[in-house]
Amino acid sequence: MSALNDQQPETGQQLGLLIDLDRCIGCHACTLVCQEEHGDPQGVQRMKVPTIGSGHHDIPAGVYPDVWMYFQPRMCQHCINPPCIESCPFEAIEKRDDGVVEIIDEDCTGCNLCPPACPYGVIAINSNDMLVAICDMCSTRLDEGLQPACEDACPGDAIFFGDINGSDSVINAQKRKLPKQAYVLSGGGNKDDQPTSRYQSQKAQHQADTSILAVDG
Amino acid sequence: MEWAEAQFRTPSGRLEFYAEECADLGDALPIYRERPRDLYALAGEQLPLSLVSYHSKFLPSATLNEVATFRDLIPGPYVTVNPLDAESRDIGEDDIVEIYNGLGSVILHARLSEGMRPGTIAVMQGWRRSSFIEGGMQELVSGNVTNPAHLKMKPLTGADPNAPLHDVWVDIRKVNT
Repeated sequence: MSALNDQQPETGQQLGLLIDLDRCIGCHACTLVCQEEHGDPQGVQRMKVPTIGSGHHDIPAGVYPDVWMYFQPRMCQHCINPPCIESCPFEAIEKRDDGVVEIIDEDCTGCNLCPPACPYGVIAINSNDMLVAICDMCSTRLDEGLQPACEDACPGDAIFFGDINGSDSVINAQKRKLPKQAYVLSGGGNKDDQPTSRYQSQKAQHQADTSILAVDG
Repeated sequence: MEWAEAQFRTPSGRLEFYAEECADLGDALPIYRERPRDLYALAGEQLPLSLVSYHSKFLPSATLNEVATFRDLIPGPYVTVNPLDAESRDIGEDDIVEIYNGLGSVILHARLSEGMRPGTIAVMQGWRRSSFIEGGMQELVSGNVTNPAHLKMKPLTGADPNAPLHDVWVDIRKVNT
């Protein structure tokens, strides 16, 4: 097992998010700005911010007074080999050349086969049209040369956006800056998905919940 | 400039952390006083649990309680109870419970957490009466001021003392549905 920092950059662009869990205060600004950006109805969360600890909102794990918790923004992991794409009979999910996975609304029938295929539980159902909704890295903003809305809105500067394969990208600069282990979400043992979102944390290092975070590399 | 001429109505005219007038009470500087349990007693019986309410990221008081997008993010209301306090009362996760004292009661769901201090239970602040199954948090709080330092300073400063929002003694029981 090696840290991500030691890996050689691969060829090809793969846009992704790096989230510094030590900077996340669990405010859900990302959740709400994401709803707003996509015009989603209330209740549809492409970006979730679960409390890691007891599993309950804002309730820590541990025994008083030795308690701990942290927050872990969760969204589409933009896998290298997305299992959702395989699960879709209508070819309504595509992986763009820049690595972003997105739903093609015109082709989605709302058959609901993809949510259970996602090992990370981040495919939401839009209660208005019953089509599926995922983080698309704000692809319409990207096409306009903007950053994803969550990266813009995060008051803790916990979210970094860039090409995970680009040695000069914001993400790799941030990884070099912080001597912290990088993690990927653990998708229940299926290594073939290769989720691309990266998480960094000192806390997770001390209190690693191996069912949630796997050391990257 | 607003308030340029304003003065604190303390004997010194300044903000007083040290109040000479309260020295005879042993309270010239703030001290801890055991909270008066009798105020909350039920049928003469003092109650064992301390009730506190804590701030949430989403609800500054009840101001944003009815903002639908926030309500989406906040489960509850619920009372957090240490399993040590819950077991002896046969209270399980998500059970409906009544928090009560001699003044009133509130009915809501329970959540168990070993992170909660035993002997203390906590409800996130910012709910409205309509948020609960029955009753309300305010029913449990006494408006009586018992702190002798507060009582002594009131005629001197004209200032109304704070309500003792965290000086609340209660017990909790399972509601059979």
